[in-house]
Amino acid sequence: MHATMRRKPGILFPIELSLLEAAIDLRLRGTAEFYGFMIATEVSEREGARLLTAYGTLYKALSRMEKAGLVESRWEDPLVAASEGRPRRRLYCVTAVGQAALAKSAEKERGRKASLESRPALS
Amino acid sequence: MSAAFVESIIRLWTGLYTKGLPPELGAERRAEVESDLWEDGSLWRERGLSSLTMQRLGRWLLGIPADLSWRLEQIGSRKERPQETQHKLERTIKMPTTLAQRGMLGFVVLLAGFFIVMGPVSFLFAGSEDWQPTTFERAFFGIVPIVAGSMILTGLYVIPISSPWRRSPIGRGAIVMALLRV
Repeated sequence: MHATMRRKPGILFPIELSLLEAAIDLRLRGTAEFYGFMIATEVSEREGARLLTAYGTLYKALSRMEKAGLVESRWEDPLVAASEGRPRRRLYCVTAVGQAALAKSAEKERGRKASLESRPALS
Repeated sequence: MSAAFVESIIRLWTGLYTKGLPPELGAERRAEVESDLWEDGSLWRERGLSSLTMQRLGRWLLGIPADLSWRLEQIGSRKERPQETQHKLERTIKMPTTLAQRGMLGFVVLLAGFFIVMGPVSFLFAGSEDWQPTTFERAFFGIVPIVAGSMILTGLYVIPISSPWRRSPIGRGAIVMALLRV
């Protein structure tokens, strides 16, 4: 019973797609790095979900994405966290590989939509 | 059930499923969850909203399958780790060899998962025309299935095979399930 999900090259899981889109959106608004809770909030706002992404789902996806090179992470300086009186955050940022994977996925989606629209309608 | 109580359950659960993993890996996951709990508590207090308990409970329950599969993935990728860590991980879980054993294990895991999910539901909807439960009884019928399911999963996936404590949670969890007759 191996629970490891096998990834087809170039294919993003839906949760990965959501996280990458939200991260790129944050970057465009000037936030280059994100942490778990921040990205969960961003995803839920974008998708209009009342419940944030589950802890297990979120951190498993981020760990898988880091292994795949889609994101990279670093631990925040403990002094910064201590000065704000909170635990340290693990800060992630989308890599060039992640950006390319997202662009490729968007291109595929556009191609799929275009082929659906070009099909003759059934009457 | 308060948000602080759910928070301590989440801490306990995170400690359990990261037990026996390489120390750095386990510590990183616990630190990430800890940070998340602090952030959401802070935001909800700031906004003065009241559904923090349900938000945390939902995020925890829905993430349990991913937590367990993440743990299994760490065990599955043990070939990349030093020999000493490999040995420690191998003692944590023994994969069933025959189809019947796999089926049995799958059934037990599904049943335990069902109990964990049904706990909060029975917590809310316990009772009938003849019997209206008190708050204590509602909490009892809600929390006991979660505890029973978690004990079984913990016995299977967290406690090392060689440990004398391994059979105890599985057996007790199974007895509780049988007594509840769900």
